[in-house]
Amino acid sequence: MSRVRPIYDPLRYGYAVGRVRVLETKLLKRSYFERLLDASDFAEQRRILSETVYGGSLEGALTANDVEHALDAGLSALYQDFLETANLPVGIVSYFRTLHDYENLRGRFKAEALGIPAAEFIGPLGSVPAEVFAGPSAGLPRSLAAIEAKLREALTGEDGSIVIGEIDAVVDRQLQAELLSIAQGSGSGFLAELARLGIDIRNARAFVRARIRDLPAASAARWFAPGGSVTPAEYAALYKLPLADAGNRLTALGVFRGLDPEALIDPARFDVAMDSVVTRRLHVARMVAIGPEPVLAYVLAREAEARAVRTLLVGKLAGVSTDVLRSRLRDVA
Amino acid sequence: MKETILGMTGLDWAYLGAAFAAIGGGIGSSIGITSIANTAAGIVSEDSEKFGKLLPLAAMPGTQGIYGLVTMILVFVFTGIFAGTADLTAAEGLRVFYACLPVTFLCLVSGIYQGLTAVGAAGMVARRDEDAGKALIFPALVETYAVFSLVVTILMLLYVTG
Repeated sequence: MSRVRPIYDPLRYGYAVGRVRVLETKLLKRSYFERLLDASDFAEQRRILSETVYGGSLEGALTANDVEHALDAGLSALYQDFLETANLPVGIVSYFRTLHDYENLRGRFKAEALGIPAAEFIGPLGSVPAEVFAGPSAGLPRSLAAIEAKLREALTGEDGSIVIGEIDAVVDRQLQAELLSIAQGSGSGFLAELARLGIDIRNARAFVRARIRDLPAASAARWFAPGGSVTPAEYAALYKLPLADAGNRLTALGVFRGLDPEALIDPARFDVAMDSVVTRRLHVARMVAIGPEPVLAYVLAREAEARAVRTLLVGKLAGVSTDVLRSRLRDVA
Repeated sequence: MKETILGMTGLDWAYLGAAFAAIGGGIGSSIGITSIANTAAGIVSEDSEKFGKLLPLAAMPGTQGIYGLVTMILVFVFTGIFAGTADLTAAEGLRVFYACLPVTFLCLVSGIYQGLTAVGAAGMVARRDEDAGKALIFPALVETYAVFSLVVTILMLLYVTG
């Protein structure tokens, strides 16, 4: 197959890559985010964004909920535009949809455990409409119903109710295994690398959180999924060390090599540090002249951009200080 | 009875060489142009003002097909096929066939790879209009080898039929 890539890839991905090459130039630059940070209020932020792709959807937004809906609608259009119509392999489309399907299933379980309506936790980016996820299990497509049943079995306690403390660990483990399987089956080396990176990031986050909460080693071990560049056995060995030492050792392993150990063990800086790792990978993918990589890199960059815009807009609406917002800002372009 | 090699007369070998050159160049060009044209169409769909800057890039892999056609015409001229005076021994015809191989293979491969290089160059144009001139240089470098193949083929044809 690799021998026909020079012929096959331009025919299959050429049009989408051409569009991406132009759209990449319209991704928000750091200077835009600085302007959003320095804006005096939400209305000024909206005015700044009026000349970008977010302008139309944010026009009537007044509350944090409006911002969430507007950004979700933007991402939904992006998914429709690039994932569904860019002639990408089924496995690649399925990778992104599965991610959101599991997030919605996670939301269903949390809503059930808390006794509140599921709609609060459901996003529009899954493979079926949000209303279906918010409805009864019987309404889910067969494949999703099977996954839900499998997760429910693992999450149900002795009293027959959902154990809320287990939801993230169980859903994450199953999600990472499924994403890795989809990525490996898609034939895209970049996607497989991305799936492994996802496992690494989730494992490291779980490691830091468990270590800070001082959970017993056996309890923490359940959170570490196999398939990343750092194995569950390596995490188990690091778990015995003081957190600062573990951070130092972790930055000598796998994808964490070269990172600032203090950022890695600080939950407030962790996500920003990990986003920089992902951004480095995206830069490499963008350098590929033709193939699925530039398209995937663009979709991921837009997702990261939407996250940054959400942080700044919702943060400003909530009255979070500029310095705190700046510390949460990631490089996306 | 005419002398043959592998059951083919000298004229048959000359026809086969000319056909190979036209086919190889044509395949290389069509794949190369399709590659860059797909990407250029994507770029133009988002920014129609780039059409003029992308057109030379899209046309560039077309030259390999022209070299294949030129080779075919030269074979017909040099061997006297056009004039109706063609009279080649099997060995001479086989040499004409060999002379066509550089264009056949180099134009096939360089056409495909020139299309790929043009795709990368189109990315430069998509980012910055002012790089349109520089972007033409890289696919043009691939063109060098297609030109070399045509020169080699012409020299060989001259030697073989001269």
